[in-house]
This record gives sequence, structure tokens and C-alpha cells, in this order.
Amino acid sequence: MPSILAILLLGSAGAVLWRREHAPRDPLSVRDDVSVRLLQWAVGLLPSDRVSWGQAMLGELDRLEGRSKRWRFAIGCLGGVLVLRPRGGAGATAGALVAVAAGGTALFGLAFFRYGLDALHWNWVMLAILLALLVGYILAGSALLRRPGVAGPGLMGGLVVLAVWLAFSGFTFAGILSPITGAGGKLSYPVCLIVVPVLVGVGGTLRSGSAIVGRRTARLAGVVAGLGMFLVTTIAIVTTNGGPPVQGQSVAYTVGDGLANLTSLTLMLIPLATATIGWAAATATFRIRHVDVAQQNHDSINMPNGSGRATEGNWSRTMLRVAVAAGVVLAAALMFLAG
Amino acid sequence: MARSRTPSPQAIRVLLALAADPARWRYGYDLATEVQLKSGSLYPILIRLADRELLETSWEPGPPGRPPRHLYRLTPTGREYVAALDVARVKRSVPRRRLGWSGA
Repeated sequence: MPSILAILLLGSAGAVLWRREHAPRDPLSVRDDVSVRLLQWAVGLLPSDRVSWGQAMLGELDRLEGRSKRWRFAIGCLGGVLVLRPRGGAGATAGALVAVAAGGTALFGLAFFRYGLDALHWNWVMLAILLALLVGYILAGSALLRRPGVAGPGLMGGLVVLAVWLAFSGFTFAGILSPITGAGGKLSYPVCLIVVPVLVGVGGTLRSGSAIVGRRTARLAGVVAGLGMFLVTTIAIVTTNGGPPVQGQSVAYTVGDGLANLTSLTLMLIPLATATIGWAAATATFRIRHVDVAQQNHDSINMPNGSGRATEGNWSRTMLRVAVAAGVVLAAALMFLAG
Repeated sequence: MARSRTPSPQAIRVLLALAADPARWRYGYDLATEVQLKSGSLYPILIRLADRELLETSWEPGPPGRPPRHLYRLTPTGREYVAALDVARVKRSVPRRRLGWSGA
């Protein structure tokens, strides 16, 4: 259990550090308090034809005095932005994510009560963490789906990650419940946790030509793959009573153990690995392409400006980020395997 | 194509506030305060009204280095729409005064 919390803390700390380093700035805003940043983030969720409404909100916030008044206004606008349903495929995908999460939760709840897992207080804590994770993924997925150019590639990337996991399981419940001994054997972890996320990050960046879109594609793919695998594994556990019976262990113990292990795999390791490795791959891909284009165009005026933050900094920073990302995922994978 | 469904009571309040002085451009926050709506309710309403071409918008340039402000008023179509609103429905949409001691 401590290993699961360590994975959560590592991922959260990395995300907080990343946000602190890369908090968006709007040159039009004289004030730069937290309410402005929150509203800027919310405005980024609006579709391109609604951006002027986001600017209207920012313009209004700029004139407001008083911390609480500004906070109330910004939070209200965030709620208003989230109320506006994403259009077209993005809206349908958001609905599908909610349905998958709800389906997995319903099956999880069924197993939780049917096998008497509700008798232990610690299980309720784990259930609360699980629900918080699911809500977080739905909100994160909904936010990412609203970003331009992310919905399609992110969904596709997530489905690819999911398909590869299922392929290594041999498309059997037994394989899903024991991924390390499935059809792919020990090869399944490096391929699923490193190679495929790298492909997602590279593909997202090459397709869009933007490091930001590539990174968001990887994050959305992580959410989609994690939620998809969560649903599949809960189906497998409920259908097979936690897998083959183990001598000396009750069915309830097997189910509880399976739920804990596979939930930490599907809702922590898979999204974390896909998002982190894919993010590093997207950044590195953009950097490599940027340098390649720069060498072809000696005239710096004709150099592409670079869509996004990847143009800032230098190679050493990129390599440091890649190394940190690889370290985080490696540590998480080792802890998962050890736990 | 915009849907022409019946407006919500909150949308009617916004329409009535704008129709009180239809020629005047209004700021979003002032409008929200007047109709007692939170920003999260007001802006989706304004967006829908603009989509239905009942609302026109404009920008007021800000001081140097500050963002511009968005302004709103009813279009001629919007004024006709408000004039044609069901009177009973309009009365229901007006917020009731809260019970309690009133000030001096």
C-alpha cells in the first residue's frame, strides 16, 4: 500500500513542479494573481470560436477589486466554461469516458460489497481514493478534450495503448489478471509502459507539429487507456471471482487483492507512464525536429517560431526532463512489481 | 442552426435587464450584479443569446497594457423578442424579495 501512495505522491509532486515552472502568463493582464491564472486556464478550455468570450471574462476580472470578489468571479466563469458542452466528437468522447468510469465503478462496487470488502475500514479509504482518482481523470479528460487538436489523437493513442495491453494479455481474462505471465511475458511491461507511450507522444507531436499538443495527446491517451483498462480488469475480476483459486486463500481475499493490484496498475501506473513517457517523447521529438529544421534554414528569421514552450530552454533541460520522466516511471514500475 | 427553445427564467431576467435601456451598452459584471446571477450562469446565457442573434457585442478598449472590456446590448431582433415574451412567464422569472427585516 505505501508503494501506491508513493506513486501518487511522485506523480503529484512532478505535476506541481511542472505547473509552477510553466504557469501561463497573459501579457495583457497587469494583475497576475491566482484568480487570473485560474481563469486563463479555464479560457484555454474554450473552443476556438468561443475564445473571445474568454477574453471578455478576463477583461471583466481585470476590473474587479477585492480578492474574494475576484475569486468568486473566476470560479464562476470556470463553472460556466465547464457547463458548455464540448462540441462534436469531443462531447461524445467525454460522455464515453464518463460511461466507462461509471461502468467500472459499478462493477467495483458490486465486488466490494458481494465479497464483504466493506468490513475493513482501510478498504473504505482505498475506495475513497479510487473515486477521487476517477473524478480527477474525468475532469482532466474533459479539460484535455476541449483543447484544439487533442481529442482525436488522444483518443486514438489511448485506444492503441489499451489494445496493446489487451494483446499482451492474449485477450483472455486470465491474461488480463496476470499481465506479467500473459502472452507477452516480461516483455509486456517495457513495451506497454515505455515503447507505446513513446509512440503516442511522437505521433501526437508529428501529427500536430506542436509539442504542446503532443504532450496533451499523451496525457489524454493515459486517461483513456487507464479508464479503459480499469473497466476491463473489473469485468475480469467480477467474472472470474478474482482469478484462479489459490490454496489457503479465500475468494474474498483473492478478489480484494486483485482489485487493489489491478486498480493501482490501471489507474496509477498506466496513466502515469503513458502521460510521463509520452510527454517526454513529445518534447524530445519537437526539439529534434526544431534543431533539424534550424540546420536546414540557416537564416534565423525564417526559422519556425516553434509552437509552444518546447522552444524555450535548451537541450540540457530537455534531457533532464526526459531523465526525470524515465526515472519516475521506472521507480513507479519497480514499486508496483515489488508490491 | 440555433435552437429556438423557450428561454430559462435566468435568461429572461438578463433579457429584461438589457431591455430596460436597450440602447445602452452593458458590462458583464454589472449585468450579473443587477440580475443576481453568478458569472458562471451569466456567460453561458450571454453566449446563447448572441448565438441566437438576440444580443450584440462590442469591445471597449482598455487603458494601455490592460485587456479590453466586452459590452452587450440587445439587437433589434432581441428587442422584438423581449416584447413578444409571455407576460406571465416574465413575472415568474423576476426574483422575489427575500423575507426578513428590511433596512431603513
